[in-house]
Amino acid sequence: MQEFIHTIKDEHGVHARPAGLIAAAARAFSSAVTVACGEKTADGKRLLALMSLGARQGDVLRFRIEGSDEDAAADALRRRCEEVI
Amino acid sequence: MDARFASIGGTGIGEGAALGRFHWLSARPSVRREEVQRTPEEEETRFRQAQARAGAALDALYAESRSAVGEDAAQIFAVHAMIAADEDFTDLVVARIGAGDTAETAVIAAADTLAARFREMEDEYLRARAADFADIAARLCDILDADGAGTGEPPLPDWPEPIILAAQDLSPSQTVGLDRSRIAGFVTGAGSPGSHTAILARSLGLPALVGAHLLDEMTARALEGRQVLLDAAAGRLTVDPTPEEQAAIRAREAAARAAEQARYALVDCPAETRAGKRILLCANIGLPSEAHEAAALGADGVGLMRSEFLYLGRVAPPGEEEQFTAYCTAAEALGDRMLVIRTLDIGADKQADYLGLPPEENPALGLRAIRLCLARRPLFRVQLRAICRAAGRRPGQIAVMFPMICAPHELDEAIAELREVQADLRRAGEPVDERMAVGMMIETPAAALLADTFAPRCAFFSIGSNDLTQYTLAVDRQNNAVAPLAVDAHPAVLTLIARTAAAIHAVGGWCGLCGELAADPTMTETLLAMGIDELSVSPSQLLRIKERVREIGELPQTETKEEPIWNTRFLPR
Repeated sequence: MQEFIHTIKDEHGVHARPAGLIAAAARAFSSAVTVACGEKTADGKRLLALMSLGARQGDVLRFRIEGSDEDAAADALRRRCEEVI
Repeated sequence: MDARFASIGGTGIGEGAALGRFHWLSARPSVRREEVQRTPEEEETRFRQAQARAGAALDALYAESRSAVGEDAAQIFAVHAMIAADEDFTDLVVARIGAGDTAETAVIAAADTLAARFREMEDEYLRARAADFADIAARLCDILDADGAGTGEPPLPDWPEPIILAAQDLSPSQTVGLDRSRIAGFVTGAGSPGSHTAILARSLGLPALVGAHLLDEMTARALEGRQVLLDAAAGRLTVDPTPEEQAAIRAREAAARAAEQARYALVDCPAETRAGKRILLCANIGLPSEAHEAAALGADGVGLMRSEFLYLGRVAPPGEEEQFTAYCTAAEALGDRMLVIRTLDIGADKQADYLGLPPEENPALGLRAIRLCLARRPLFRVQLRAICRAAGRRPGQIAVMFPMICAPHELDEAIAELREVQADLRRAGEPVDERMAVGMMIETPAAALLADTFAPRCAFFSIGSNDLTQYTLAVDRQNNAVAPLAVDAHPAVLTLIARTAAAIHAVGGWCGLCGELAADPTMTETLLAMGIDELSVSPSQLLRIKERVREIGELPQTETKEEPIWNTRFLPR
């Protein structure tokens, strides 16, 4: 299992566009991706689920990645997060 | 009349005003009675086909509006495409179909469920997304109803007068299908200056009122068909305006139209002062298609083609052929007018995934523009080959310039790379423009201070006043806390500009300026007096600046060092 956290820097939080880009990055891997923010958790491969986290600037997202390609997936998702939120 | 309806306040978009009849556009799609009985499996197939068609249509809308109104305004279609294909949405629809709903009913119910979920969110942006679900449902229902053929947009009422289109929130796909020639303005109950309606209104040059108080479905029904006066400058919608109010607005609008019309008359006039000083007034463009607009508005050419736009929003860099075609397209659109291509200015705030650049602590001072190109030679060479081939095809028209040069060796290395590319092309028997103009951007204090050193190697300079201001004054424009300090008319910046112009003039070259400063009519005279030969502005600013240039008479004498032409009025208070 791989885990990492990301603090949201974008002033709009996890809005539609970045959520879509993160979900697309997650879908490129077979590992299961869960994203938690506060009390809520979401399937990292689902756009609306990610948006429903209601995560805002300054919130911390906790990524948990489990599966055969978890190392590469964690790496890709971390980079994607840096780029888009 | 009920006093409540006399006038409605909100946030005005634009300076204009419009008179027209009020029409409320309801967002909710209608559910048609299904005549045909289908099995749940058949309904699911219908839904999945409609989903695929909607996705394709939205992708096409995205691509189309991206070049028409820009990335920011177009993004909504990309988002809608993602939502329409979303698994949660799909699961909800399929579950309803399994329970016996038709595809249409299931789509609307699923969208309602999601909209309700988002309406309860704390975040204002996410609450606003509720409207998107209804829009996506409407699109899917249109496709289902018409089996994919019709557009299904509700027609506008058949009134002779212009229509002031009102809605709780206007969705992009609602507005995309409307006959815009009949619409005089927009009013929405929801929305902000950044909403789709506001962006659309700006791009159409129509007045709008967003976030209008008291505008709900009930009020709107009472207003249907009534005459209204939309005054964006005042942020007000007046119902049943008096004849005096109407006359005042008509006069104001006529004056505004006359001013704009008068500017259109300048399209074919030269950018020349009354005293006969002719400058080049050029356009800044991103994509090649914008060169048409520049040419149509009478630009003397393109003073800045931001080639990085070809590199953004994709998974791999554009190849040589694609770039070659893009540069040729832009050049052809300009006829025989100048096209200055700036080599890739990427890095810092403009990122491309495929370059795999690590995040930087301080991107404005990081690996960007020419620094990146010199560090990634293969990337740089592909672009230089494309530019040189386009220049060979259209000799004398295309110029190349290098961004973010700070030190002489950077310019030397860039020029050496260019010469190698030209030599390769020559060996391969490709036509090469032997006299292609080579210039550089002046956007750091270092470049301006060493302008004398750089000048002999350049045919021209182009001053990037935004970066020059940021680096000279140590102010990050994106940082609201200090943005007011980013005064590009600061004496320090102007001193560097004057020095830059003098340096290139000394060797017979010309000096352009392509930042925001070029589009500030209050600075035009000062810039001309400092010897700026070319101003490059966004196409929409061309005529306003040309009008200003043509008002200028004799320029103040600037040669004496003791009497600088700028003064303390440019200092921030």
